[in-house]
Amino acid sequence: MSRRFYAQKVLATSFIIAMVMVALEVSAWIAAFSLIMLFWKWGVENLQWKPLSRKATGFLSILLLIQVLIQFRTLIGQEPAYTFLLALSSLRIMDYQNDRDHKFVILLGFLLISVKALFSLDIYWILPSGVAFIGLWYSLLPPNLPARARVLFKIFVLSVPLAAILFFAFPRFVLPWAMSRGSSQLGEIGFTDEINPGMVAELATNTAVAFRAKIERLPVNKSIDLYWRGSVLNQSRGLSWRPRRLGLRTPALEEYKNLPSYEVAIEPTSQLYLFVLDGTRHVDLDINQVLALPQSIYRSTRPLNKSSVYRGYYKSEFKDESPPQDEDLQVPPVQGRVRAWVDDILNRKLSTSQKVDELQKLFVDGGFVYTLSPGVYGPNDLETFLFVRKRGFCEHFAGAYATLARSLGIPARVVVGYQGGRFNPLGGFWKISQKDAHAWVEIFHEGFWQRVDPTLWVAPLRLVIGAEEFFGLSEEDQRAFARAVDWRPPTKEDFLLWDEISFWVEDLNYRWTYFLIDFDKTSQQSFWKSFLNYRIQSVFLILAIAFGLVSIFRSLFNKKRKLNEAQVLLEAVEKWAERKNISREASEPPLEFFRRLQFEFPHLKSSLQEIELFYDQQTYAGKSSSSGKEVLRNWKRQMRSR
Amino acid sequence: MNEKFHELIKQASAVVLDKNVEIRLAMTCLLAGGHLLIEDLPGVGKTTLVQVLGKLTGLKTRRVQFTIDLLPADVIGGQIYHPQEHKFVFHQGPLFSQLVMADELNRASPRTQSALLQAMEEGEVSVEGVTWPLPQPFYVIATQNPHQQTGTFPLPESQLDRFLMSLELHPASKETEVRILQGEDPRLLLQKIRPLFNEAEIAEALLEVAKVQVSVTVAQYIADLLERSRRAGFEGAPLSTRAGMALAKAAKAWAFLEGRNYIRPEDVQQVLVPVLGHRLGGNHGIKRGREWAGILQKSTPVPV
Repeated sequence: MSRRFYAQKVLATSFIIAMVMVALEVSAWIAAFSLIMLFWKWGVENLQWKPLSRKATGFLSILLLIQVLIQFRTLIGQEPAYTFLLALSSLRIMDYQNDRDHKFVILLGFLLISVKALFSLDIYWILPSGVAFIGLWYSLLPPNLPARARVLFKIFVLSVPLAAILFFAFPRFVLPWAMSRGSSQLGEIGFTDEINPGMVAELATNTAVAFRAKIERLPVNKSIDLYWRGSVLNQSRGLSWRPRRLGLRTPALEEYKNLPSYEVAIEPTSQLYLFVLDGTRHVDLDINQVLALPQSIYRSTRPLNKSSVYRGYYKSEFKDESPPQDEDLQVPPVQGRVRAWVDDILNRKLSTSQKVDELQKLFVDGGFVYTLSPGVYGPNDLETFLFVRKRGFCEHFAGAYATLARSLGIPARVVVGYQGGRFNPLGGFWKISQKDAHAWVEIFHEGFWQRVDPTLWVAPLRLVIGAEEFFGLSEEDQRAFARAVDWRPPTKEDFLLWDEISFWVEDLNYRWTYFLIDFDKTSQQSFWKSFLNYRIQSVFLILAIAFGLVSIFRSLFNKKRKLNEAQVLLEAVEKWAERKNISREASEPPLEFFRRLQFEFPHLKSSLQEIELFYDQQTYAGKSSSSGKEVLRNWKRQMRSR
Repeated sequence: MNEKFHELIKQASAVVLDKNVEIRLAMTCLLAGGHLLIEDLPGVGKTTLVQVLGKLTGLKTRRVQFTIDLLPADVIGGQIYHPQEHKFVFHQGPLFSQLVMADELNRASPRTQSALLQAMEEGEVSVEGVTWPLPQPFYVIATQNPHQQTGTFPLPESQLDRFLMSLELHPASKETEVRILQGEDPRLLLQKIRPLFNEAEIAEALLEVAKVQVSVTVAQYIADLLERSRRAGFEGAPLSTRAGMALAKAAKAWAFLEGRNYIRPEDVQQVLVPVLGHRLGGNHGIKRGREWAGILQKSTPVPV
């Protein structure tokens, strides 16, 4: 039997969805090639274009194999394999002609979907994958099978609760060789342990989610207050900063359990950073032990190769009073106009507070531009940045400020992490994406380390509305409104439908990721623990599930006949007679039974005769009479009227 | 069409008193194109019944009294030498008629019995290599004495199966007997009877009966009956598919007499005991078979 690809809409749609999902992950040339093949096939089927022969597609696939080998120098590994798979799929579509091709194409479709799942388990991709998956299955079914389809559907329904039970109850194993998600180099969080000019800016162009946080019970609730501390950099090279090797800090002895806490759900990463709010005193993480480092930095002991949740305990009045060390004042030699500016301040013999004010004045009045594309700076291009170009991103401002502060004798360090985030009112959580990457400064002044954020002077709007909104503005608007602070946070009424949808999907994805994808041994244990806490409810729930399962089973294997109208009538009369203590022997023919009833209940004679006639006509004479419903209605009316 | 048969039944009932049901069943059997077996004591009206039916239907009727020394040739006929023509000529026996009454069939030797039964099954007889077709329609109404009586050769099951129905003619009720004893001899009434049908009408009726419909539900019912008779624990002989076909055929004829062109489970139940009695009974006798048929009917649910 010859088949046409595009004539089968479900198959074509599902397969193209699967291909597009994979095409987004591979090189552009192969995506384009696949698109051309799809279009060509469409032309072949609809416009009578000349098709490629099987020989030609075979030859092309060998060429593609060679190309992939040249490009990647191997076939082993994700990307070359996907690339080749995609190319092969499009060539198979070209060959699509008969039942065998049909099955092969569907197999390829399943492969494409599973391949996509290796890239991403986000709900954004699970949904189309699910659609494509069901579509492919559907196109495997023979065209006419209503009865079997119903059985299949029931089996599917049956499998859902079983899958759910297995999901919660199946023992989880920790496999040391299990694949981790995220790229092995940087993880989802593209954070490294140093800043060079442009690095944070580069990170900020990334739209990926870094982590999500629930901070409901904390006194901080505005974007501008949320400084997520990742790492502290102490070694200055001007604009570029590096961290110092840190010893371990003894854990805080104070009773942190009474402190308000917040929850952070972090995306998989090969890094060890645990981002915490400024003022965090303790961090709890389920499996991995947490390393508490000096300067309020927290690290996990091993990479979080899956989404993980940790809890931070927050103390708003906390002040880091650890004394600065010599190296907190070390700076590379500064020259030129920077040297002149520093010498000028130093010569005026100002107090520390005055020095701080001078620094602030420099940034407030300096005419700086906050931008994602500041141009390229060298590691020690302070002079160019401060006095010539004056364009920079948070890292430039923070790096420059800290270097200047040290030059003026104020101990200073750069803190890198994230700032702000986008609040999801539906899920009640903050989504912190790579865009929110930020750098700020801490100076030791008045006896403790206090936060100074030069960005606040240059572009307060960035901190008030959050990075996502800020970079959503056009560049002109960014520049024009950067210094505006009287920004009203959007209220519920301001949300457009699109915002609502995006919040909703975000929330769904959050739940999907943290409650389904990363349901591991620990989550399982805590789930069962909480489950057993509600003993009565649990018993009811189990009973309800068991009942549902049993009833589905019964409906599946009980071949209950669908009653025809005559049978319905007979059943109705039998039920009625049962109440009068008259029952029909199994060997008594229904018509005889009706006649017996007529004899017993003469006042019902006409109605019973009508039923008798209808039953006789439909069951034995084989005449289809459509008045069965009418007869039943008459009967019921007569019963009611008595 | 069927009114005429009702008229026939009415007239026959006037002659053979108190046997309405049996007459009707016998008529059903003829309409279904099957042979009839009547078992009962002598003198309850078996012969009269057959004679009445023969007269009323206008079928050419012959009676053969079976005895132990009767030979197949006496029934079928044989080659007899014609001296004038110097050749053998086939002389048709009493079998060559439309309605053959085989009286006291179980008194004949098995050899003679089987000669008759072969004719019943095949509708033709072979004599010395030449096959002679029997007239159409061809019915055999056999009577037999209860087989406990002396000097009988019970019919084997395979041959019992050739009869579509078996009937018992019970003695008439006391009141009827009083009437018979007072009134005129029914045999004299026989003489006055005129045929109601011609051959074409009978053939037409047979065609009509064949056209009666069997719905799935009723076919299912018959199949259920067959299946139940084969179950372990049921005492009667298991029923063959041919028994089921016979049941359907008889039910069709019954429905035809009722003036319907489709059958109901009721029709099946009406003919169930006569059709299945001798089949279920086997060598236990028709009487036991009829009891078992009743049990079978009671224990088989009617599909709805």
